[in-house]
Amino acid sequence: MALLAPECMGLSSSREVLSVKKKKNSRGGNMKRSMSALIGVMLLGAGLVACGGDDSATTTAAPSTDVATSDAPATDEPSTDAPSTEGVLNVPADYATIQEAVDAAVEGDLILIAPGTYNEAVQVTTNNIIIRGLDRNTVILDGNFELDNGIRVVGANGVALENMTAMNYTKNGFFWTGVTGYRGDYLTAWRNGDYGVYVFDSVGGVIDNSYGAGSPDAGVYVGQCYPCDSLINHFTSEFNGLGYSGTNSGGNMIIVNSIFRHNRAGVVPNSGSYELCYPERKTTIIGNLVYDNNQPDTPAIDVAILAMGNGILSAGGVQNIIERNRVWNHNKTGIGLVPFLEEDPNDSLPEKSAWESTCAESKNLMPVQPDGALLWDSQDTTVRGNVLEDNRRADIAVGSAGSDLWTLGNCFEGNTFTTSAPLDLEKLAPCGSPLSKDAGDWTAGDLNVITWLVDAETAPPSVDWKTATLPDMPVFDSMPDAATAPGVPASATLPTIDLDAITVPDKID
Amino acid sequence: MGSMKTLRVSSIVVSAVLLMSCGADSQDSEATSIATVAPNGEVITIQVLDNSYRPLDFEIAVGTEVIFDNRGRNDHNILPDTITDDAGLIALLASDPSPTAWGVASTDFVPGDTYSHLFNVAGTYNYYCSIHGAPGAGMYGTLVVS
Repeated sequence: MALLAPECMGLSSSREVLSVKKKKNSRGGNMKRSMSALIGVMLLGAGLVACGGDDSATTTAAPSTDVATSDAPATDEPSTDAPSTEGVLNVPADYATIQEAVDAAVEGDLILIAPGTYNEAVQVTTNNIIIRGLDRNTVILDGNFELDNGIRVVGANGVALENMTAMNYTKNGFFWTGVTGYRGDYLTAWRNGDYGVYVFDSVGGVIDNSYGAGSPDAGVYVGQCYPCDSLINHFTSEFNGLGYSGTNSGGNMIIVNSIFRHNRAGVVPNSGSYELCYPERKTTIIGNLVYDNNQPDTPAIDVAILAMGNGILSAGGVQNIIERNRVWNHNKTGIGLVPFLEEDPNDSLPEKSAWESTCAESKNLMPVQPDGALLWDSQDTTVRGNVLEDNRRADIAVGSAGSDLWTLGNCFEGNTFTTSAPLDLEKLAPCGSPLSKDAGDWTAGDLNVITWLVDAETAPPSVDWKTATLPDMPVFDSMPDAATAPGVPASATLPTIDLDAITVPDKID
Repeated sequence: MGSMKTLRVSSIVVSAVLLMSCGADSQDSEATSIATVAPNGEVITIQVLDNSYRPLDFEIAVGTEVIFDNRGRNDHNILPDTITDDAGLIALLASDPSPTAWGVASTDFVPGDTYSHLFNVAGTYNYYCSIHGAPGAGMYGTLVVS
């Protein structure tokens, strides 16, 4: 996937999608196998025998628990084990592994994990349980570069994960998918092979007081949800390919009071038809510190390499609000609104009238295969009241690859900045009034995102996530009163947050 | 995006119905049996995106070939609900030649790959991706073959 791929411009796909047609040869090997079986059947001519039906017809097998190879905790004696209480399951005092405790838990239970290293890939399918480490820094789930996810919550609503570290997993540190109501609090995701904290197709959640480092994709991700009704608050994301990524998410999707630094690129909401519920829209990004996202020695997916050197980059997002962030020291843009070119899309661009469709509604729509590549323009986004400095290409910028910029509806107002692309961007694209071709020269100093492709070709390549250099893991504040605080399942209703009260944060080193 | 509709393959021509003994263990004289139908010439495609099968539920006529097309950016697999992981699927396919043993491991289904299977036995086929889901949750799907 390329942000812009000129060699793919105009690429036409002749794929048949969800269509009925006469059989043709395919690359799938199983067809041959099936045909062989069928021929075998014909040769046997076994006559009429009652058949048993379909093995896979009505199975409701319990979900895989993946690998639950918990070693005994590496520390000698858990020193802060909580006493046994009704509805509290202690690991390892009551259950040797986290997975065993999860499997035994019922809704409302609190699982308390003593300090130690747990070589587990935990899967959660029970609603409304709380899994909490007694100490964020010493309760460590370690995938040993072999296990996939530290904790994966699949279709279980209201699950809260609190106060622990997940590291060295081939996929994600913490992963929710297909849930309503989730909460991650005081989590550390360190050196994981895909994302640090990964939230997919889930709504109604909070990720708070958490940290992600050392992943080739994003330190924290929320994708495929609308409305997401989700909050990322007090998150620090660094040394990843992307600080934040959100594909096709939005709708009360709030990112506030967080730090995105030392990634290839900082905060990157984006659209694409390789996931459902497009486009990305209505993400609110307020009061964050975004700086030094030029890091050349991180693991990085291709998009992260392409987006490298940008602070907040809306790649094909629409109706986003970017306000009161402090953004500095980027080789390209501080805040950039750019197109995302999808070279081999799976559907046509949605009409503007469909932007209000919920994710659930849009999932049921049948795709219409376009003739060629799609250009997802960033549109109708407000960039207001941010403080920017030392962003070498431009502090604030908007670009396209064919669309007239004044037709896109993006506006800029009240930012503290030095450079823009095009020049005089706040005069060209003020908020509160329709944009006009005649507002000024839209071409002077405009952003040529095509050149980013050239930059990507020569950018430092991805570093293996398993061996990428990371600083010493910080010692983080733990959840207060972890041993005694009552367990509260995650609510699907967001806490009230006064966005208007958030001010531009002070600069830090 | 187009309007919502359900694609149903209805023009099935059943050229043969063969009934045979077809237990997983061919040496077992009490093996169960499977009714198979010859290919009807119909081919449909299911998009495999990150991290969804589109469409989620699909109804087809027996004898239809289904092509699963990995159109996402990530590896996926397609496992019957009875299988827990890639290794289990590989073991199943190695040991069970019956047409109801199907699926593809993630190692053979990276972005750009396709996998096809002829569904020549009626039934309901529930499946999922073990990387991004579980049976009936996350990334999963259902094929009703009738």
